[in-house]
Amino acid sequence: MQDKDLERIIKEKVDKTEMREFTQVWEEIRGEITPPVKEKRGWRKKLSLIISSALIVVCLAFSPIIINSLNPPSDEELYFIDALVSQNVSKDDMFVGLQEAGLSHPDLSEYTFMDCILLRAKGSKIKGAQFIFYNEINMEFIATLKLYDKKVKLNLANENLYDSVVEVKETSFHYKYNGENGGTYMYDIYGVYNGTQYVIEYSGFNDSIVEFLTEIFA
Amino acid sequence: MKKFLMLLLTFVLGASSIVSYSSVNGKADSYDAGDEYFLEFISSDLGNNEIDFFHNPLYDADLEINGREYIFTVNGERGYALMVEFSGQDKIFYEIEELFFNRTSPFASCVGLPVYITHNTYLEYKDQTFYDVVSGDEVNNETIAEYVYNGFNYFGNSTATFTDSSVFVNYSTKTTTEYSIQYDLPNIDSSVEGGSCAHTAGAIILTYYDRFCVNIIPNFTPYISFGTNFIYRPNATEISNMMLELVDLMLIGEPHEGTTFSEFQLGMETYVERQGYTYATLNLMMNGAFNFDIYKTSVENNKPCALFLTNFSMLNEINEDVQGQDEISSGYCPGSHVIACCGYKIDTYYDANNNVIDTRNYIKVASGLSSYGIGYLNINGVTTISKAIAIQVS
Repeated sequence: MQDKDLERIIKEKVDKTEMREFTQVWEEIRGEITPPVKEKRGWRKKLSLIISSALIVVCLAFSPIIINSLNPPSDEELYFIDALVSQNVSKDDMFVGLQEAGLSHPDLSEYTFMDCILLRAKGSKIKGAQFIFYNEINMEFIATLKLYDKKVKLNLANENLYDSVVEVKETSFHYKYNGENGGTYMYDIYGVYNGTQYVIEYSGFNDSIVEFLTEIFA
Repeated sequence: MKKFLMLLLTFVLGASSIVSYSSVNGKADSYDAGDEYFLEFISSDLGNNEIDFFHNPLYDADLEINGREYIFTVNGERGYALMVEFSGQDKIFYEIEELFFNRTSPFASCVGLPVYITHNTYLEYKDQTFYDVVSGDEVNNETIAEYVYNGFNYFGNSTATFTDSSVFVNYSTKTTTEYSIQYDLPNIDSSVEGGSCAHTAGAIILTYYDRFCVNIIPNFTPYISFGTNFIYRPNATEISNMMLELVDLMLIGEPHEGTTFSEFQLGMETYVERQGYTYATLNLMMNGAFNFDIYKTSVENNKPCALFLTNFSMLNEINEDVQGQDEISSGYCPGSHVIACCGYKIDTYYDANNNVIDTRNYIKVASGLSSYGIGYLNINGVTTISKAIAIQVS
């Protein structure tokens, strides 16, 4: 049988089929169809909706804090040492600046100071300071002290650059002996004390940096 | 009208292109100021040999002539030099940016206008578009603007970060030779607001010379004597003030960031002569490359040097924990920098038969960077030295 013959037979069958009126069909089925009933929300459902919305808002508000507490500071939060800008200041202004920035420092009031600078990050935030200090009456040593906020990224803080460690005031100070010249001993020292990073260049007649550090961080 | 303008532009560019490849021969009766600068620059490489040369113009991003490509022949050996010119203070300053013997100019294959606007970048302008001569790639306007901003300046970019990498050297035995100018150089960094690496390197070298020429920084002693030791005062106000003076003196033309080699030289000479002394420099580049032997001689004669770098590596450490193996760790910075130098370290490595298998040279520097302080420049790989001078103040 050809497709044409099939089409012809189908057409003949369709032509013979009787079509019922829509109104007639509707009258037969309308009793079986019911309109949808609007659900009335109870007070319990409303309360649960309010509580879950409030929980979502609280979670969103605290999520940065939770995320920060779980993750270490990213690079964006660090201050690169080469990006800090120096400002020559008096000794008093330097200590006021450090105090305002919340940077701890040892009590060095009995020493003489030279060449004090404050180090500021973009936005003028104080992130460190540097100065030379010595005891004018009993000049046993002269040292350059550089102190930095813990968020300042120091290449010099790479512990591999310092080959020895000494414990002073429950703090590990890493150091490197730079030799002796005519009875003067030279050391580079790095340590984190009370949340502040210290880089110290020491030149002194005393070969013991433990004594020096104990005296400074007394 | 639009078609007419296009035709006019095509004609002008075509005419320029023809002019660009008309050349000036070095055997002409008279040399101009640019030729004389080129001849003076190359004279230390010539010995007793004669030079034959010609030059073609180079163009800036506005398609104005901004320098020359010199093609020369010395003793049968062909080479090239790229020279740019700057104007300011009613003068024209010439600067050779690169010079190589036995090498073909990167502009040799250029069919359009040769455009030279920043270090190590060779462009041509054709069909109203900029192309990289080396890669053949089209260069967009944004990149051109970045090249123009960089110019031939050295920035010592304070925001540049260093990428650490290590190389390993295996050996049987090793010898180390070290030298430094006594008491090194002052560890001044470029943290003074408004200062950049060139001003810092200049201040480092001038502070060093204040030990011998006490009026370089008047009424100020830049160091403290402690026993037999000698401690510099890098953070003194007087040094910060001198650096800010150098910022003003190292400026040609409109204010801009960074400093060119010519600006460095002009600023240093002006400052030193104003203080009553003489400023002289010795070129440490030979045949287009940094000559380590001349450098060694200079520092051994207590003459600090300044290197002009288009990228550089600072030595982090040499880890010798493993017997017979050195792990050499360096921090690479892709930015430009000017660095003051005072010494060197040479590590020579031998095999079991006492044959030299490797030699690594490091340059002791006052880096001008807080992160590295006094350290070593690793010149054994990715550091590019475009200019080097030994400096004498007397």
